[in-house]
Amino acid sequence: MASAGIRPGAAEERTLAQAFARREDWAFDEAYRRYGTLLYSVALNVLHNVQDAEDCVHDALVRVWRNPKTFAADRGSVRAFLTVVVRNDAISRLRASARRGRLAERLGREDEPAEEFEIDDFVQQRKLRAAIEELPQEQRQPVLLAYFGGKTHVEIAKELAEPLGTVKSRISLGLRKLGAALKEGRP
Amino acid sequence: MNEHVDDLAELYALGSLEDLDRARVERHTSSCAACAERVSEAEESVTRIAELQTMHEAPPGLRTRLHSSLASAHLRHAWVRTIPAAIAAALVLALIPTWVAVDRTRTVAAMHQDEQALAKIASAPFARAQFMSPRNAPMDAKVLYGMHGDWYYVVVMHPKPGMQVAYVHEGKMEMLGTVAMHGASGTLYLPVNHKMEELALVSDGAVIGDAHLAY
Repeated sequence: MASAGIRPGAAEERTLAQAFARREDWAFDEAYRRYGTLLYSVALNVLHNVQDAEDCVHDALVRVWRNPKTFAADRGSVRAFLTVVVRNDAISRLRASARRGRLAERLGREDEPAEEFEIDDFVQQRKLRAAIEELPQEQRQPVLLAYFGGKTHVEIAKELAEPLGTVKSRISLGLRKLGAALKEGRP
Repeated sequence: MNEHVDDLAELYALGSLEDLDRARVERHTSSCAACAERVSEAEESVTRIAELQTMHEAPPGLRTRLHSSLASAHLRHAWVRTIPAAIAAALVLALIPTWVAVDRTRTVAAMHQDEQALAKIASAPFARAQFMSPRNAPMDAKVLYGMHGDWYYVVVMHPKPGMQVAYVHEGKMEMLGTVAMHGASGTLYLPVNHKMEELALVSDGAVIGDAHLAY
């Protein structure tokens, strides 16, 4: 198992973000050096296939780098931006494959999101589990279905037999609480 | 999307939006600082979760592959700059519409994309398809594409800002990218490695034309 990569300080991150937004070549290399492991892991944890994960990271990074409008220096951190870009790309690939019927079995398994955690790093996973368990059940379930199940909010509303607006609000609130808990290092 | 993204920010970061809604959020946040900040915070939350999942070392070949893909664009860029102007102009004018070749407002990234497309057009068999409006009238838009389905190059005259290209398949749309504006024209190069039979032009969330591709 690899480490999550180097976490720079805020000033370093700002410098990288500014250079990345200006498409300075060193910024791409530096972003990959810092976050390559994280990005590949994000893709692999969604796609569960090493070649698909490699293709996903490659295509997403090339697309981002060749489209200067995708990232502005004041947009946030390069780390979080790239993580979500790669993850969204991976989810799109999974959905496209599922539409073609090739991954129906895998999606079926993801109907049980709470069982999908990989417990390779006990301490970190315990932290995540604890943060998730702090969420009220009504928020926990849709957040799990969204993050670990890769489902759309429309699919989640249908599965939980709840109104779409209610599900959107619960996912939104749940993610914000989860993010705040993990930021503060709780529990 | 003129209204603020609100709860869609968290859904976007979680990957819980369909491609069309995702594209709308991206378009809106490119011009709304408040929504961009909320999306950024949601992205941080998702990243914190991702960082607590199992980490896997990226294969060494991935870095090499990325360097190769990005360096090849730079090399082609350098090549185009160094060959005699007359030869370059003749080659370009013979292969792609004049309005693409003479435009001087292209960004460096868009130029790299155009050069990639030019290299493909020059080196491999390709076909082209016409975009048609919903009333079946030909639009000032075409797609050139490799016969193996390994690249697509969309060219549009007078595109609306934010115009996107989508893959239409089994009644669903998968957004592929945004047309880069170059003055009166726009282009989008797509190194997508699968054969697509139908592409659509999407503007302000509505399909304004489509093209059917044969192989």
